[in-house]
Amino acid sequence: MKSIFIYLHLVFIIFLNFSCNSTNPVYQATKNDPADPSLLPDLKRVYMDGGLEKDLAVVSINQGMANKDLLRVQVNLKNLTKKSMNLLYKIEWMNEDGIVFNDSSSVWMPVYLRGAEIVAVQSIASSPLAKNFWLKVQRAKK
Amino acid sequence: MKYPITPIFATLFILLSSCNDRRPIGRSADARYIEDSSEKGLVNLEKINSQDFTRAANKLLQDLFVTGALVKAPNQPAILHIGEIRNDTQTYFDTDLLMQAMKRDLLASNRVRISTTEGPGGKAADQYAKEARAKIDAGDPFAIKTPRPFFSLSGKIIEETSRVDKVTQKDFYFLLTLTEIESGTGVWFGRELITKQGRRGAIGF
Repeated sequence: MKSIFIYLHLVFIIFLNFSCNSTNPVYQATKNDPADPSLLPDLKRVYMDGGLEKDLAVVSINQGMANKDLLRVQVNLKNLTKKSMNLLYKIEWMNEDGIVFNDSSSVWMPVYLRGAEIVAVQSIASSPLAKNFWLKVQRAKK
Repeated sequence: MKYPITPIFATLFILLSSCNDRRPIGRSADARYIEDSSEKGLVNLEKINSQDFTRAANKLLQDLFVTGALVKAPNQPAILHIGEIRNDTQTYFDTDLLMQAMKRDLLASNRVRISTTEGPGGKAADQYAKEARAKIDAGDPFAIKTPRPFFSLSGKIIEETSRVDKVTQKDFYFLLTLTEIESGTGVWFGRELITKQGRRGAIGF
């Protein structure tokens, strides 16, 4: 009888831990080499807990220039599941020293991915001094 | 037989008290600071929220940069005049909530300088550009004092409402026009749509 109670106790603790997990982990990616000017730069990924890395993949990142001297990136996100998902993404721009610009791109944008769909999200730096970026992705509120 | 009830209640108490991240002391004392354009901000159906302004400003600017309209000015950085931005929605707000974010990023792009000493003279969509062009056409040598703007930015914000059963959809259109004063023609027509759908407002998105 005592072992049943201990077992129930453990199940209860696990259940509560899952049910009150209100954190929403952020999946992040950036260029491996900030100075990499190639059209398809290598990526450095930071994986977080929470399962998003199992459901979502940054397939590739294309970069180019807009307005002659502003860095422009296109991030191709793939939904690895069959279910559609609502995500929020944000692209923060940094200068060559890694200092983040306080510009209007620092806002969470909604993106909807259907099952197995690849969606391209784009951003253009507001300053010619921008050399690298952080892509941040999280699940939208259900 | 003694059942381990006390440890269960103790665990329950600790877990329930630790997983509530707002922890109000009073019944509704849960005011807190949130970061600019946070995903934890309020989402209202009936009005444009702060994150909507930032999102619209960002998307419009990106569209403007993609077209390369600013690069075509003969003198860089060109001088930009900010014309009238009309609020045609049902709620009052200062259109600088949209424009200030755009002005900051436009200045950072190093493609324009923004005129702050000249203003629109009337109620037309871009009366200033119209008057400036009229004076140029009249050959008035004192028509425009330096700095002479090369571009003028004007626009409006429109609201559309649709309802099906209890679900409301609000469409907020941000329409901006960049006019090249010299030729009097629009060189960029920006359109950004922010759509919100639901039954009632929410905390976070």
